[in-house]
Amino acid sequence: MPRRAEVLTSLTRGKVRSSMSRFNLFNLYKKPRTNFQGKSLYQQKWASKADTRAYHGEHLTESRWKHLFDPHLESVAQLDASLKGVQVAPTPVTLQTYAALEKRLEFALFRAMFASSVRQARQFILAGDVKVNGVVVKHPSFPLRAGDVFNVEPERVLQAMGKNKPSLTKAVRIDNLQIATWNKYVKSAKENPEAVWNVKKNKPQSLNTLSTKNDKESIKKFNETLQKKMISEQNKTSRESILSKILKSSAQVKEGDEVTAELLSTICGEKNAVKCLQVYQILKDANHKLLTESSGKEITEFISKKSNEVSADEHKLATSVKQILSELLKSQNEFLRQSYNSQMLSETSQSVPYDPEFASKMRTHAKLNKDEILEDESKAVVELPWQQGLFGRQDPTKPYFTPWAPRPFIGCFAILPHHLEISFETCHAIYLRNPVSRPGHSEVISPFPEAVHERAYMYYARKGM
Amino acid sequence: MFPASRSITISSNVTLNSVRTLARVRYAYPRGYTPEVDPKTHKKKDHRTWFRRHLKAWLGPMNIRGEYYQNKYYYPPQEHKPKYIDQTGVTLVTGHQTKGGDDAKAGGARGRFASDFSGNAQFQPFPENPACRTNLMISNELKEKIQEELSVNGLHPQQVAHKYGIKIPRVEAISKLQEIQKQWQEQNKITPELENFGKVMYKLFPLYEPPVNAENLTEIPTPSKTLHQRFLTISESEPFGPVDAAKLFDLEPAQQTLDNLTEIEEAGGDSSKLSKVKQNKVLVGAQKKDDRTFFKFTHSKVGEVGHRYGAGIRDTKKDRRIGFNAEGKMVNM
Repeated sequence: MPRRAEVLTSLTRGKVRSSMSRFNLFNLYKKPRTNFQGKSLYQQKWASKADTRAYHGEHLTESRWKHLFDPHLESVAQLDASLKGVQVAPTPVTLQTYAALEKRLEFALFRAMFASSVRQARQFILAGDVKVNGVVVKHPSFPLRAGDVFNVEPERVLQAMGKNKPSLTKAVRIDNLQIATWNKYVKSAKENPEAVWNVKKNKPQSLNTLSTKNDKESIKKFNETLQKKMISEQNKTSRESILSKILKSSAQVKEGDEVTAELLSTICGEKNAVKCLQVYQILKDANHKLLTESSGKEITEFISKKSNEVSADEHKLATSVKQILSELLKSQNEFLRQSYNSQMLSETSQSVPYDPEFASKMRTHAKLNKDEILEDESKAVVELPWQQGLFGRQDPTKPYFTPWAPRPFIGCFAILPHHLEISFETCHAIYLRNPVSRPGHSEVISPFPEAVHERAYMYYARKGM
Repeated sequence: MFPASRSITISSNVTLNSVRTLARVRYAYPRGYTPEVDPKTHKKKDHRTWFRRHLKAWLGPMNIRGEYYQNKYYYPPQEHKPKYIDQTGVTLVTGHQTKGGDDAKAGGARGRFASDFSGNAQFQPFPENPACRTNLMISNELKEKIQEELSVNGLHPQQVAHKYGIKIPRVEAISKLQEIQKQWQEQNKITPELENFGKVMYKLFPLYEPPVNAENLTEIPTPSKTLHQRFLTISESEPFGPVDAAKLFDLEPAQQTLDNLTEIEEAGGDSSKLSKVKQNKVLVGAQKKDDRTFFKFTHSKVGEVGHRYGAGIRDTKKDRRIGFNAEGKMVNM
């Protein structure tokens, strides 16, 4: 039987536990260093033992632990130490005081990050969700041996390492708040798009490392749309399209003004603007009807008509125009590529340029009817740009936050152990060996320094215990 | 700050007599930094303790979705750069002021245990214990390469271990886990959620880079004989080296051990071990029609199985020997 869990994460007592709770993190953060000043040796040993035992196997009674304790501590020697010719760090042997616990299945589960605390690991084992070498083992104290493969039901691991699933009431409340905020934002963006865009641009970057919405992503997206646009335009480019562009831009010139090469440079670039002008001049000199009637059909007809279908003059004119257009067509793809590339944003650029259309695509969201959803959860329809389905309850059958998100503060507790090899995708791990100590390093994960472990070891290694 | 009357400060010149009262429960106030505390909402009606209010300030404000969005530890680090606690007392990142500059600041002042950070401080999860470090994650590409070396190129695990600087058990474990993963992929057992979980966890840990972070492959369990001191009187002129020391301890010289370590075990060492597993002879009785019984006799040696009449039972003793059978059930040994 484990010890009763009584206010394990009391902030006042401030004991550090083997748990990933945020209270425990806070206790770890504010923990004062174990104080030995002015204490007798026994007081020092007692304080050390109290601190370390709160972390190492707190759920075991003292008598159970005393039976498990092995005064012989494992360490390794490095044979090439003398060859290296450098001073070898001392081996923190006493950090192995609690190494005997690490071979227990419950501890291995916690160290492999398949459970968020040793007590939770025990629950998983007792529920029959843990297998060792393919066999269900229901004993948290099962001693692992080198080479043992253990695995946990993935659902349980996702639950342990994931965020808490909110209750239905809470999810609806949060979603209504989110919807209200979103609607307010949409409204203001539609009224005053540029100001909202600037506010959005100047907003400090979120600390959220998992959100896909960051500057780099949006720049990438912006460049991708440009690329797509370019390719489609390149595919569309033909002699007809160039001619129609020339005619269109020349038609915009007011009466009396001259059509210049500068004006036509936007179509094919400065280099080829003269050629564009040439086309226009040829048509103008002949006072061609295309200048006044430049619909798509007429242009196609003009270009595709064969010599026997038109008069000799017309044919001569068309041939010269077509020749220039063919020359333009050759360089057009390259021109498009260059002009689009100049618009694309570099990776170092800070933000996407202002798009006046951005607010027009936004839609407000209808408020959720709480009573209706509490009756039947499937009636909830949430389609926010960053969230599909109810908050944390996209799949309400799952016991964890869906879509899965890692639990808060996981980074502070993510310690990859040296004595285990873990495969997170399959929730399998292999116990490589009992943790050992080597010069300057101990494989037993512990928040306490060697001085504290030394005294705890002295407490337990005494004679006649 | 917390009231001065509650904190006990012990100066270096106190006598033992004056701290006889140490036994009494003392509150775990932080000592290394100046704590920030959430102000009381009401002079009399706010009943939160000092610690609760400190926790509130430490966690920072919460957004609509219940995230402590300003706390630098809240979200998982995702670029193979772990973010462990630093005990500077500053946990919140607010606005532009800390954008980019935050990490530099944290690196500059690592709290009261700055001297404790030896070598790679970023791999040290607990500020007080420099001997505890996180392991390095083997990248997915390297795992695949190892698997390929073993299965396709037919290398011995020891050769692979030497090539990439990873210990043999780890090489074997990687190969085994890769196989399991492949099997799961074939069976479509890796759900999108699991895949996401695996990705997030993968990016939490620093990556292993073979020539730089190579593990020490010359490690052997410390010989118990060397754990005790030996005294030997020799003349000053007499040379005394590691080989002499080995002789004195009645051990083989380190060079010899090193050579033995680098020799590859005979091929199929593992399979020969497997073949040594003793198979019990089993006699199965033929089952005829309408027979309700099925006989199966297993050859066993007296004393090795079951309980011999009259033998002592230790299962009522406190230090009883416990073992586990092949079915994972606990049995008395």
